[in-house]
Amino acid sequence: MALLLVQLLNGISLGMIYVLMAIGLTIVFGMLNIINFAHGAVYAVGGYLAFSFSVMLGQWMGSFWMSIILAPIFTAFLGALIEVALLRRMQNAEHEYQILLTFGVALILQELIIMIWGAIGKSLSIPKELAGVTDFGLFTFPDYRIFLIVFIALICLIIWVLIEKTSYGSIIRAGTENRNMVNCLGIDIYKVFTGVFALGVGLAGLAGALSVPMRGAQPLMGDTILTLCFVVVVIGGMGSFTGAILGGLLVGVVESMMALVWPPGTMVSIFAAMALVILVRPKGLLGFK
Amino acid sequence: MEEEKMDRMIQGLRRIVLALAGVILLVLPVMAADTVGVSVIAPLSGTYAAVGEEDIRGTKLAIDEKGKLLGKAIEMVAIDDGNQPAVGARKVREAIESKGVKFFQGAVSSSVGLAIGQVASEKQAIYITSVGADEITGKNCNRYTFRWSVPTYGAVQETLVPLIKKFPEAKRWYTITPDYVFGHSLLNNAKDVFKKYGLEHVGNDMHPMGATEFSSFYTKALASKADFVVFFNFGKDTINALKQADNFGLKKKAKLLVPWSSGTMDLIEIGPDIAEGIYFGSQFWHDVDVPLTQALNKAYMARYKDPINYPAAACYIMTKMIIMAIEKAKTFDPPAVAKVLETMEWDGLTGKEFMQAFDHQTDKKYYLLLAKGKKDIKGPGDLATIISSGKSFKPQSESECKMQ
Repeated sequence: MALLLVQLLNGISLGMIYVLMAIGLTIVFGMLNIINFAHGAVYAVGGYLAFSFSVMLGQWMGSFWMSIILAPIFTAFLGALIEVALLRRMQNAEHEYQILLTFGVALILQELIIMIWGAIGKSLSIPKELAGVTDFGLFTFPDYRIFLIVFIALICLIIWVLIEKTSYGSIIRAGTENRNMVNCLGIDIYKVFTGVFALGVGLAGLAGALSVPMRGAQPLMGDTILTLCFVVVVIGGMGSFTGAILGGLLVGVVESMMALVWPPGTMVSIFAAMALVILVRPKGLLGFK
Repeated sequence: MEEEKMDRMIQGLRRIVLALAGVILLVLPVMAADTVGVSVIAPLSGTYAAVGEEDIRGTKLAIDEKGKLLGKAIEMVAIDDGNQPAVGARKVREAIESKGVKFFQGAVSSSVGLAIGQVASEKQAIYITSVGADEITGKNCNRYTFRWSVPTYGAVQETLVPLIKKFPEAKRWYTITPDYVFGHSLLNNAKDVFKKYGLEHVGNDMHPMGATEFSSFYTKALASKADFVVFFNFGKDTINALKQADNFGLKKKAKLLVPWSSGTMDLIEIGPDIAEGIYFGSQFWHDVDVPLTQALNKAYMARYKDPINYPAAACYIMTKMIIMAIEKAKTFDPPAVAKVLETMEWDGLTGKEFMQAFDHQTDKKYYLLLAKGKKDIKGPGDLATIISSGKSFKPQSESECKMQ
């Protein structure tokens, strides 16, 4: 029983990272109609930046907070750059070209990471304050993973408020439905695009920064997470915010539970779940595109 | 008229170019006649990529140290096996057939080592390896394959047994195994040891190579109240596993052992906070009182700042063994070099080492180390203390090797 609870909690903490990634991916798709294949690479960039900031600022609690604020900001800035310099030129091109472009960006970023930080991975310690385990009576659970759950839930709330309750958010929602109309209404849709892309990429960078103390940073860390990210978004529904949350948690919990029951089948079950969802509800559980 | 002239000119040019190409192709192999190729086979991508990079460093050190061999310059031929047996075997075959390379060493993954051993035997090329699976010098032994590193049998004996003796109250052992030849090899050897000493093997988890989530294993290990958790993985897998073990506070409830580690590489990457108190087994340690090791460590540190690790040291000594054998045999002919290798003795990295003729396994020491915490570290290389070292090899009577 305790084992199941721990695995559930573990699954949720894993899922939260996927949720963060998926939200980023889904709002970019919803708004810009771009499937961002560089999403994994910017996750890696966020992770490595967090490592570097942490090292530069010395490894204490304050520097951890600084690095998880600075890394996503820098990553978002990188995203804005990519959008303005590259993606904007392709916005009238077919889907395939945009995909190819983001894929190319992903490769470039990956190689840049290897050039700057080397091919061997980097490690980051969890800050002392979060490095303990909490005793829940039946089981103990690492504090850092609890922190992940709480912190990311907070971020999701903030994003939700941003999208549902602010005027900027209403522009995003409107642009997701009909971008030309928004343009006709006199709103500079291109600036919004840049902003949304930067936001999506920034979220990926944050996910990367948060995952480094747990798993370390490797140059190819973006690859595995990208695949899972797509699975999450497909399950949850492309373009759906709540779908991203649902899909992310589902994938995280399935992964965790499978590791308990049948470890070699972890990946298989996730993909099987995705296949099932596509068969039953092609648009994803909560999707509308 | 003009067109005809142009056509003829083009025809003439084509003939000249083809002729030149033919001449160059003929000359090319001849141009390489004053170099001898020594190949290093290493994974340059994937889970063991960092190890691959170290393999190349070690090989370079040995080649640069030697300079010329029997009048020829030594050329390092790097082969990226990508950790895939089929890829490695194919590339080795290509190197033998099209480049005429006859001396190979390396491979990190046991499955790759086994595949290349087969190619070496078939093509009569020398291959020295450091992979772990017992079969390389067991039932898959052959005339042209040799091993420097201690196989999994010895690694398990030299790490588990001293700890069992040191902690007689530790009765419950949990194991975490990467799901391929190397992992199974370590696990099976460990199971024999558990049985022999009457210990309880309270659980085992198999994970795919390159796994990033080990959390569920630790919850199970903690629930099973294991005294020792043994990690049979290597490279990046070990790094991830230990980091997460630290996250889950595993060290507070159990002792951790990594029977086959890459030594300083692992310790430097996970850092002393995580490493403190963990037991590591290693084929090599840079700080032992052996002249060759001290010299090698100095040379490596001069180039790369950190103390030398096991993968680089292994490729260094294996390249050196090839060079020494060629020098002794006074020829580049593989059958003659193989004959010299199989009875060779040399000053190795763990003291005096020699090759066992019956199975082509090097007789050498294996070390058990205890990693130090930050407060005990006195200098850049001072990362662990040697708890014990020794030699454990199956006697000839128990060997499955039938050398033809």
